[in-house]
Amino acid sequence: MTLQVRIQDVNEMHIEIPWSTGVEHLDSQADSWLYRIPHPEDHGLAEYIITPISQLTWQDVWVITIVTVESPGILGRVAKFLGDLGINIVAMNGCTIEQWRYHSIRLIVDCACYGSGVDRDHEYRRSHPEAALNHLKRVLAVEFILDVAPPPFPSVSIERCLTFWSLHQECLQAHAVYPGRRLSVRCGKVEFPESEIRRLVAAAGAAGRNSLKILVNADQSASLVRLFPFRINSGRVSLSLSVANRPGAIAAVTSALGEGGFNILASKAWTSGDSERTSLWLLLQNLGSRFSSVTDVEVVQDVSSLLTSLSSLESFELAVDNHS
Amino acid sequence: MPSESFASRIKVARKHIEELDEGAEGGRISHKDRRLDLLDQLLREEQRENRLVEPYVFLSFAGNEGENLIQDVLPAIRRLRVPGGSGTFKVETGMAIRGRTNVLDHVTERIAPCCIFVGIMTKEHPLDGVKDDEGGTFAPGAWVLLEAGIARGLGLEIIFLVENGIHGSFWKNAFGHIRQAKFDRSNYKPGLDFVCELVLEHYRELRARSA
Repeated sequence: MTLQVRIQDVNEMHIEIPWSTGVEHLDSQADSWLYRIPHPEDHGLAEYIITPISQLTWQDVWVITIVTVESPGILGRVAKFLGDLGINIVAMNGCTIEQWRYHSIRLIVDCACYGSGVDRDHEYRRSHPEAALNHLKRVLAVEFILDVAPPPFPSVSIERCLTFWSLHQECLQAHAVYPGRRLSVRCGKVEFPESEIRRLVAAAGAAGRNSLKILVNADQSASLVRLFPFRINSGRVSLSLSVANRPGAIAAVTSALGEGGFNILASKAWTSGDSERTSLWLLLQNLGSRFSSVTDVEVVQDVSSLLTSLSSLESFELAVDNHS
Repeated sequence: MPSESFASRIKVARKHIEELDEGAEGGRISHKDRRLDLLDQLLREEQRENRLVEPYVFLSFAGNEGENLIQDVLPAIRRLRVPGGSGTFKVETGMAIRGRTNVLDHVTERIAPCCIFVGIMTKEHPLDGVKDDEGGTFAPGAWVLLEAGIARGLGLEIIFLVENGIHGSFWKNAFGHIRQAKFDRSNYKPGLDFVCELVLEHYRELRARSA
């Protein structure tokens, strides 16, 4: 799973980060940056970004995956090749695979100083999210043609980190402020600054810190954690559901909720009971097109009546995760 | 990185693969043919994306007369300087199949990376008295028409060099709206010069559209 969604109490100041090395002294040296994105329409409850990738590279950051044979010096050759093209490696992890025969290397690279006739230059790529690095991909494949797994094994892939590109676009908006702040990592977690909690509490109003929760979205593939603070009793309710596992079951539930006026803000699903059941966790917001439920109890009643009306749903179990 | 250096990288890599024995270096070079095929594929992809950076013109011809004429057309286009670029136009043809059995696939792969198609229609087959309004009594070689259709489908700009005397049914009805140059066998030079002008004009238009 590369995406992990959860709700965390604002009093739990430690946020788990998926890019932790698991080695304390390495983690303590690694950068983890905190960025705040103000959203004035949410009355001061800013969104937060935690990432090891500095904002300075967000516009032109890419992920290169290359699978080579296990051979001394191969990593050095790949790194030198990229360096000669002006490509800076900002993060890397690699591991032997297939019983020591091959080596998979994943690199997060900053391409601001790289350009070619086909791939164009930084100026072009920063304003074109659809830009690709196909030439670079081919050059890598040719350079390491003897060192990669035999075709048609896909040995080189390059993908843009679109999440960072779109974050940068938000940064360009006049009201967005991104004061980068370095956090330290301990035991695989970063400590959310007390000053930011105070800022949130002030924005949330008189009820204080006990009235706040944080929706945490950890994206391992993008090396990014997004935090969405929200007020309890703001019409957002999380529910756990369990339905029979069959094609169309998730579609039936989510479509019914949508038609009933419930917007799904976050979700995750997994199978349970020896794959007999599908379990769903949903964070819902009632937008009130068919139901005007506000309290948790009312939401559960309305969702329950929605699901009961679904003839395609054989059985379901429903529970509310109480925020308060 | 200029694409010419990509082509030379391919050449070097090909040499390395061909020089090494199957099974050498601890089995590293196994699947030699697959690696060579991959190089071909990468080169074609690069050419396709590189269409305007290093432009290729596909030259289509058929029959004995077409083969004679190509000896002069090919170097003339190769001498053309790319407007706004540093080099000259490259030329591709459907020849040199090298053992491939599927000719259509081969031709399509050759056409795809090009940006401009030049079809040379020469009088190849007499029509036994069938005449069009302008006195055309010959059919051109079929490959030129077939390849023109493929090129059109792949989005290339099309130019024809049409010999006087070819029946209009073979080109005017279907391709009459396409830019063309006419020529006489006794003096093809003016027609060839005009084709070269059309190549440059089409290229400038393509650049303007992609900007």
